[in-house]
Amino acid sequence: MDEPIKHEHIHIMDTVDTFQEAIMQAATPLINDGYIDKAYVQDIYDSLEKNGPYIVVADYVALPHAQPSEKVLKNGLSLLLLNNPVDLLGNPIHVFIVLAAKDSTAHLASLKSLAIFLMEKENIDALIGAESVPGIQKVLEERWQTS
Amino acid sequence: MKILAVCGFGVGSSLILKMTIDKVLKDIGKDADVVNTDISDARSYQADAIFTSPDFVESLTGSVKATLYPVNRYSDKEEVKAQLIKAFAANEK
Repeated sequence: MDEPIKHEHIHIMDTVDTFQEAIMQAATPLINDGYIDKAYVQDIYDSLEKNGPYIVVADYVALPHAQPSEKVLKNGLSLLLLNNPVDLLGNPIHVFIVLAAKDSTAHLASLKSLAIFLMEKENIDALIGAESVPGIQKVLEERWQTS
Repeated sequence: MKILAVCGFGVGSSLILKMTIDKVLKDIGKDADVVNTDISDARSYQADAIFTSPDFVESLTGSVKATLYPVNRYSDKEEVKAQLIKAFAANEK
């Protein structure tokens, strides 16, 4: 099975000052790996300002993404775990999962698996409790259902 | 019943919401047609109910015929279940 989220796209930080910094940090592996242009992150900020914080899909979990565009070069996911939550428009967030999708049908299978994963609160608790990147990977791999 | 799950771009969050609605429908033994789409397409769709964020409920109010049901957390089964029960009750009237 492919890794649910590539290990080189996952990292942990203790604290960040703002949600913008968190989103940029979360997206950095995708930028460095040529999945997204840095301008995609600006689109995410703009969407949050315009559309509100609906990307907070579960308590403590945000799924930053913007509209598919040429700023997305490859479909992918990245994950940042914060040991101390940061405020995102009134919501404390521990986990940022950046979604890069080239079009609206791209990446359907992994998004569906992600949706099923996020529906169970104990999966989120396990993710937040992870202490290392291998620990996060273990949580994802054990609880990730592919359909 | 036809339900729309709506987000800003119809690409990520609305699919998460659709998956949660589908899962809860299965849990409560009900049937509905669930489609995910973006905020601009939502205005041109025929549907009985629209599930979306409180911010989008505000922007869609007055421009759609469907009843609007706000959902704060798109992957929260309990929140979605409470709104689905309301939607079925309203639809059966």
